[in-house]
Amino acid sequence: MLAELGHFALLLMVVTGIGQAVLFSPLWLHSSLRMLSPQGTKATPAGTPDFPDDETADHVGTVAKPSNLYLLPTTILLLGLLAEAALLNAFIVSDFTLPIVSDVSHSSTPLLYRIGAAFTPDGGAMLLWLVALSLINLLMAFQLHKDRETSDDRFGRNALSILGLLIAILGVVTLIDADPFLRASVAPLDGRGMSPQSQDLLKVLREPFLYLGLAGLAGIFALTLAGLLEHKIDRQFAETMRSWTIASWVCLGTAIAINAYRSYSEQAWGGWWYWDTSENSLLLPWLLTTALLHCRAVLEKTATLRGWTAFLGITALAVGWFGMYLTRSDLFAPLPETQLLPSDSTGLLIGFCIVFGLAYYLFWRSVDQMGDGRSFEVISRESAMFLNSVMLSLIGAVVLIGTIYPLVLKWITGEPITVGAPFYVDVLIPIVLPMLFLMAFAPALRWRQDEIWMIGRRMKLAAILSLITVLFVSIRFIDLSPAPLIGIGLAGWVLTASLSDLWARLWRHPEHGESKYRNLQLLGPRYVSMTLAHIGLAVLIAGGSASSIWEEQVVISARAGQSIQAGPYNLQYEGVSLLAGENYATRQATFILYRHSLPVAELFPEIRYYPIRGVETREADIWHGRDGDLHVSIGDRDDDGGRVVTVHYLPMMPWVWGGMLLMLIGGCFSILTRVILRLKKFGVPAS
Amino acid sequence: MIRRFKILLGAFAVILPVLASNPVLAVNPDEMLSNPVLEERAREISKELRCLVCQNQSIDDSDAELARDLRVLVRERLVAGDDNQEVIDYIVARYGDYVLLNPPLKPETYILWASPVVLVVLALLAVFAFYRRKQRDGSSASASLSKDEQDRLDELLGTSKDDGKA
Repeated sequence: MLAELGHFALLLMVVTGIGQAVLFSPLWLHSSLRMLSPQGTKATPAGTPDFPDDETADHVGTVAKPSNLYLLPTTILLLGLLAEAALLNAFIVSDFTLPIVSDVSHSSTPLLYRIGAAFTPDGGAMLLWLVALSLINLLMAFQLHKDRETSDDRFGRNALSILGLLIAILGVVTLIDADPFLRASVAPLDGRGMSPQSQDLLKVLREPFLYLGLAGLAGIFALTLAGLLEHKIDRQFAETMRSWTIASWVCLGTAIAINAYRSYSEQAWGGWWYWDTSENSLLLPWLLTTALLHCRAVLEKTATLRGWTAFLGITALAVGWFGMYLTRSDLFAPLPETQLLPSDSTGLLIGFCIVFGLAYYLFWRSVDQMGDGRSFEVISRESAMFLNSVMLSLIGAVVLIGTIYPLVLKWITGEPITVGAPFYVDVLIPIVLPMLFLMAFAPALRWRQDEIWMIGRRMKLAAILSLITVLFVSIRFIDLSPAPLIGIGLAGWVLTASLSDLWARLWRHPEHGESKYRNLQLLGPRYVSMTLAHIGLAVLIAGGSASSIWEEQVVISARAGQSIQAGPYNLQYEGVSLLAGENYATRQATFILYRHSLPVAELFPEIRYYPIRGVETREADIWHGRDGDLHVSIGDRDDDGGRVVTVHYLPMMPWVWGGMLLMLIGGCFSILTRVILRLKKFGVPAS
Repeated sequence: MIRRFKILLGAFAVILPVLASNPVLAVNPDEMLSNPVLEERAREISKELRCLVCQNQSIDDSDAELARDLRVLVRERLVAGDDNQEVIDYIVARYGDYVLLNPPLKPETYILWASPVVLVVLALLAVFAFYRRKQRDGSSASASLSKDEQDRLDELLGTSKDDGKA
């Protein structure tokens, strides 16, 4: 029964979305709003007959009063939550009459993973995206209402109208492609079980971040289109976009970081980035959001780069949507087994073509009428940030081509080829290295115009320090190949440049009569978060380069009591015990980790066997030490009775995770300070 | 507790035959060659070859049965005296270009390999054109400041000497 209620809520969501699209669009605006205000509930289900639908009617009644702007977004969010709750309930109680549940869940699956299983099939993922979108929709209404000057404006209503349309389109796509609430005529006794690779806390946590990020991109898309419609791509527009870009960037970045760590801790995968389709489709929107982040800052400061910012605002969602299509479709990997619930992704592709066909057409029509503000010189901070965004988009374009080229080729000639890590490394390094080199200059440059010799003076400390780093590393480790060395050198360059700029700002002579804390205040939250993110990237690259050079791998067949040497560590293998997990059996090995003959930790890599799917998974155990990670995993028994043990010592690997964390902290810091400022009602924009 | 025990029992019934069979793990000790130079070369070659049943994993990383067979094959060829390229050619002749993680340069992949170069050139041209236009617009637009602008400028300069922050 609850599932039918959820189904109905999903249908109503589509209808309400269309209602929001129509009611908030400028053509219908005045007349329809006048219709709306006296009798709030009537207009909501726009065209639906009066179902005895107590859930929605109640909420509509209560929210009608504060503002009409909130009415429809709140309704949509409540409907979305209702649908999601119905689906989650079906998974929690294991209602196998729903094929979506019996396809990916099983009664013995632990509760947490049954909840996680609700997000993995196509229908569940789309529903989660819809809920995230309706949350963004309400937040957008909230923000546009707060900015008084735009609330009565057509701009805000256009944005909400476009978001409503997106919700309606995605809702229809969900219903057509993979309706999560369909019932099976004959219910199976139990489900097929969840894929063991997905039974992981991090994997479950990744999904909400991913879909919130994508929904945030939809918010940016709606704002951009509204701006294009009203010819309002200006500084105020950039100011409105700010929280959205940073929030989406943080959410997508978190999803990527979780994904990378997840690959890393799965022994069978070993590394942390494989350039496969699902990883690329996560990376693409993040790259474009990063580019947008920088352009938007330029637009807000100097009112230039209007067209380019608008283009990135549309494209970020386009690649996110397309990536979603690629991972959901069976173009790359055929679906593993026949499922009870047929799922199809054609609707997602058609929706994509319609939405972005229209969006790019609109962009193309209005881009010429966009004047650009004051000009800037080739050597200026605007210029540095612009070039950075161009390079980031280039990287995105190369990754996109590498991802879809095998598909297109197979479609045309029928011949399969593989585009793997070596291709991306060969092609991307010549783009990434100059980008890192230029990146270090941006914070030290002045807006609008700067002199080369002035920059030279500001950057000389950083240049000397990073050269010393490179010299030291290349002398100390004489047989090094050039590529990682350049990586380390550039990481050092970015790091020292960020720090020396911070230093220079902190120790600038205060004006006469100013307190010495003035410099600290002048830094402002934006500068701090930017520096944190830049340092994070430098640390990430240094860690990645270093661990790729000095990685040590030991594969041996070990017997109980045997000790294995890796880097500064010594592992003693104690043996394997057979244990039972909640829905799996596991062979768990015990290792005692010694560093300089002192015991530091115990490590327990496992081989798990999930009887329901009949699949084995390998769970590595990782020790994060000060100077590197020790990554231990076990294999099967060897012919001569020993146990195959693989030990990786990855020096400086914690830098990779620390760098990712620093970048995310930088983003969160920016959002938090802005939220605090808003709450304090200073009335001025942050920084 | 009893349920767990049942799962355990059931699981072992299925695992036991697996335990007895050949070990499967990325690079097993029994596959390795005793000659460290040859082994190093084998690892290098393995990183370039794709495990045919996985998603973009090299046979060096994969623990699929097929990847293991390929790893053994690579080592056999090396022991037989092939150089790196001959080994790769040997495998490609049997499994096709699909097995190469780095797609080879041939008519079908010209576009793939050319695209980054073309994109970079296009981007350079676009950026160059952008600056040219900026320069032209800038020289005509910012010829002189109006009275209001001058006043505003003085006011700004008078109150704040700080340059902006991103």
